[in-house]
Amino acid sequence: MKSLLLKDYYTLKKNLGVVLLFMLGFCCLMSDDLVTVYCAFYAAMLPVTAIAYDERANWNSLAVSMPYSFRDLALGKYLLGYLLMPPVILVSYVAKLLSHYVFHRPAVSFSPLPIMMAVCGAAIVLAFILPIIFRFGSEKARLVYLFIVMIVAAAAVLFMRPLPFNVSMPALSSLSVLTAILAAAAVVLNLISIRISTAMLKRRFR
Amino acid sequence: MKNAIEVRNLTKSFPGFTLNDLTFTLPEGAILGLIGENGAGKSTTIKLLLHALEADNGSAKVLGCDVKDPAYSAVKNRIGVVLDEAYFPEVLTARQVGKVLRHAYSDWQDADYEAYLNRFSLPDDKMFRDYSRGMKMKLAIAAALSHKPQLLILDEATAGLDPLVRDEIVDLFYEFTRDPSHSILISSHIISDLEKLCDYVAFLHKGNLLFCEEKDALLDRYCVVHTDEAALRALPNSAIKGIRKNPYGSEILLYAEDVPASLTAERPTLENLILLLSKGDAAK
Repeated sequence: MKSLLLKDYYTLKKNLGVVLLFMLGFCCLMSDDLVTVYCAFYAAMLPVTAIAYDERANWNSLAVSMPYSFRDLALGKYLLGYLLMPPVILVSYVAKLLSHYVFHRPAVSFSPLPIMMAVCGAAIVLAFILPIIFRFGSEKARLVYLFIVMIVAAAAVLFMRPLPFNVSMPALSSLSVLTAILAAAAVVLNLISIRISTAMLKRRFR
Repeated sequence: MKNAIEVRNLTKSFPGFTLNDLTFTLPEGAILGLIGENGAGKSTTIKLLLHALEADNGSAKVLGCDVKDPAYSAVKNRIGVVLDEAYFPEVLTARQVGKVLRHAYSDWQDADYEAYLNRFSLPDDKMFRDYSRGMKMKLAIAAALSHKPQLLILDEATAGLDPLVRDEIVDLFYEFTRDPSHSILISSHIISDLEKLCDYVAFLHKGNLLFCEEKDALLDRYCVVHTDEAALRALPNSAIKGIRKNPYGSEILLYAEDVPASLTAERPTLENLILLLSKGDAAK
């Protein structure tokens, strides 16, 4: 598994540097909790980019001849997504701090609940998108991903922004419950999704 | 004698193509050449051996392990594979490929890999996409040989390479089989390479295995005669195993014992034998 992650890291390295710079700029302009959501979702999209590189190189044709199982090949992309989320979210916070001290933006509040919710949301998106990519390829799956992101972004706006109409935000205790539910859903959906992705990858080959 | 590969009644069907009831063995220490036209089933056979494809029927054992056994994944540590293209991600350098594979194979040898890169004059800091085809294939071969494999599976690994590079690579495969526990299964269109290299030859034609036997015994069994139309008519149809007509006469493949004393026969080359057998099949 380490070799697959290392391969993806080398593949995305250049890409990642440019993206992190772009995100830093983006975060400096928008001092908002939504930035964390965008960052988490962006991290979830990076495995899609890694799969696109793999498809371009026809890497899986070689990988199946190596000591990897189809499960390893599928699981590697999930792990990549999970591993990229913390550094990407960290970048968003560094950027927020920078924007506060350099551009005198409002102070940054480090609240774990929105981060947890963003991470769980991104993990759930990953659980939905990866089996589709493993079945149909990254090109077709990008459209599905955009659609899912739009839905989730709308949901995030609903929960994280004051609304113009009369809907009260959930209380902190409700948010904790919601985060716990999201976390449980993320775990269950990802476990199911990994099985489906493995089957999809096998089916694509066999 | 142990077998590096044992295939029994292996069958795989796709719409419009069936790899039919394949049975052959590759003894340990030997080199088996898999020959066949495009679409004959060579790559399908190799994918079945690597368990990248699931067979409909039959069984395949590689290095003593059934390919369907979950333990086969670990056995792949002892198999070096070179496919028709080197499918490494294009932004990786040879150095990075080495670092990745070090964690993939349990017996990866950094020193061997380094030595192959030097031997092939492959720059280790240049991106894979900037390599020529010859360099890419050399990198794939270096990677396949750097984890102490006992078996090499090569699928058109020399295709598209110039004769000098091919010769260099064929020499390398010879070196590999100096160890009596090392075996090679190689599929190629370039029959002259296989003739130089192989101990055994398997000929796949339209999904069927026409033969798999020792190369020298095979070449001894057949003869080629060059003759005119009149002499051709004198030969019984059943004796003709293959025929190729040209404006100056006919080239006929016969069993050595069926050659009439009146005709001058010569030992076929492997390429000639395969071509004539294919034509014989087409004539039928």
